[in-house]
Amino acid sequence: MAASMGKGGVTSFQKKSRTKTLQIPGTRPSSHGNQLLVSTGVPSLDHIIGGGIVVGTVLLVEEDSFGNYARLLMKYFMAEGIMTRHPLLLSSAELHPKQLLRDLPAPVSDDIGKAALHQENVSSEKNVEKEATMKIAWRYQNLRTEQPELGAFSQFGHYYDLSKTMSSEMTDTAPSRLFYLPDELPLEEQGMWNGIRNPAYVKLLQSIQDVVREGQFDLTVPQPKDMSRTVLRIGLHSLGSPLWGEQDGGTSHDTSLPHFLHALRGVLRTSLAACLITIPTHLFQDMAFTRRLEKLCDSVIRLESFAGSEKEQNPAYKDYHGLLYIKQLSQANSLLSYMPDCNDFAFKLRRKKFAVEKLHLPPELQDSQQREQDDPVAALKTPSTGCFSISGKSKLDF
Amino acid sequence: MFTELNIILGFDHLKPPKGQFVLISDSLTDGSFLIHHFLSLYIKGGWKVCLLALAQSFGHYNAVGQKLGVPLTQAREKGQLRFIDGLKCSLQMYTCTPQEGQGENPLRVLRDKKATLRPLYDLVKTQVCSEEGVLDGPTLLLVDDLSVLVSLGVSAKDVSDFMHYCRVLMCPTQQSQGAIVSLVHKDADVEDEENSTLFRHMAYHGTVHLAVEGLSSGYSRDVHGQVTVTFRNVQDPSQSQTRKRRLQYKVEERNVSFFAPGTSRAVL
Repeated sequence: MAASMGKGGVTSFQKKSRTKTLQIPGTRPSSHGNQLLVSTGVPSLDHIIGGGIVVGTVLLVEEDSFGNYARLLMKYFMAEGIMTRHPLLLSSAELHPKQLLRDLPAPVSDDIGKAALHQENVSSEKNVEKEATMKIAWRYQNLRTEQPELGAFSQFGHYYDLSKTMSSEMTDTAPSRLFYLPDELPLEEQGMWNGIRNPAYVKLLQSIQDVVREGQFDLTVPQPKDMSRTVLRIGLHSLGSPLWGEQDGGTSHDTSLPHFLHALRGVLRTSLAACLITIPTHLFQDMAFTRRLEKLCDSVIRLESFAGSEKEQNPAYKDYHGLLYIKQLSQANSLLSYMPDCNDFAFKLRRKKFAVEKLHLPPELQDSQQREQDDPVAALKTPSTGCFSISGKSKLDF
Repeated sequence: MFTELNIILGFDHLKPPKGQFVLISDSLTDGSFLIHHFLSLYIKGGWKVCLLALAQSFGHYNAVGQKLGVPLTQAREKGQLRFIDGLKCSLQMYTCTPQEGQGENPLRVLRDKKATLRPLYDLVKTQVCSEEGVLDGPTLLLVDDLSVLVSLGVSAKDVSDFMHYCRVLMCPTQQSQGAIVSLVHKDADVEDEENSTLFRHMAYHGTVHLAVEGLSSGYSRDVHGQVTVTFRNVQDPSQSQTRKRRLQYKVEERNVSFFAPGTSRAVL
């Protein structure tokens, strides 16, 4: 619908949109396609995966060797859910989900300030009596005087301060459902399964289905139009670890986890929910198994941290804490997925920001390095040689 | 429906060819845009289509179909499109208790090791055939995708038996009424034995093979990959057995553009 513009004024024409876009705080429509996105809690990660996690899909994070950064991403995801008032479902097998929730990073203080300030303004406006009738602008008499709350919770993507934890009143009042595997499934039942269906995963899927049904996130069930809808955030921490009963470190013959992911896709495609799963794929022996899991998820990223590896010493990586690889991006409801500019990303963890950036090699300065051994660029290009190879620029060259 | 691909394949978009078994394989990239191509091509051509969707929901195909100009909901209501929802069957199979039993679920094989994909074949047969048990009019069977069945634990032998039965039903010769299009994942960097076995079995059945892969020089934003089209000429042994064509492609919002290698608009 074309809006006719006056000589410099704004008109009252409103574009009639044919599609009913759901207005849910904390989400935004994606730039290509009419899909709803939720933030992962890390704005730079949102940017490289195309705006955020598409509602109805799964973002798989392949964990780094110690799982620290993957756990951090899960915390950001949950913290973002609390800030935007999305209900949470968190499952974990090793540490209790309550412990994870108690340790969430606090939002950076000006966001809290904005929210508090707005709350005060809104409440003070309500106290003012508004019986004075308008004489000149009588057309506006019948419009609502309350503005919709545009506090921090409808903002998309927040920054968090890792040195402070989120206040317990925020985490305790947030609607959440916790799934702690040793509580839900007694240890004896975990051990006995005939290799086809892991009861731990079945129990988890059933609780996800229950939450979707009770919280009215199911899109196939018609809801009354004026009901405010929200998005469920599902976080499955460290799925597929040995605590979940994965035997032999995952081989292609193991079908419990692939079947769980396939059934989860069936649930998510018809629900208003977004899911973040972290899987320690470095424990799996068979790459083909990992590849099958990736194909059954929509977006996949892999974290590789430098802690404890030889790359920590590499001066090219000295500003960063690890590498991030995008393996797959969501193609749900569209012909193409978001195509990033490049696929070389590194992340660094600061107190107030988890930054994901494009990896740049440092410039080669002629006067700094005389010996090729010290040149970080050359070190990156040459592969690491084995112990018995004669070629190579080892310092112990005889 | 991508017109450049139709020209290369020699498929007439007004009268899509019969008796073809098209195999799509992808390696390290996603070849599902070709599934959407064939779906829209055959629906626009007026064929009856049976879509066995194991990887995505109906909403996905519908959303993409609307961008390509093919209203799938209307086709489904009219009866031109028969949709078999694999996600729903698999979910039901996963969460039902043994007391409830599997009932009529076509994917019974996922729980019951002794079963095969026979119930799935029976379901497909009821969807495509008339009461006498033969095909009524030109029909296409579109399977998206077979590697999901392998990931869910069905053996490559069972899947290949199922496809063999489907082929005998739909397109045993080049003059039959039906056609089949199926997708198999075949990643080159991992050794997935079941998938490789399945791919080799399917390659024997196929009359046209479209292999989708990324560029050998790495990731590029302007050229997303290349498609190698192989035509198997089983009729005439005197002519050469296979004919190959190689194209590069770029996926856009509503279309996929195909071009000869090196002639991308970003390069020229």
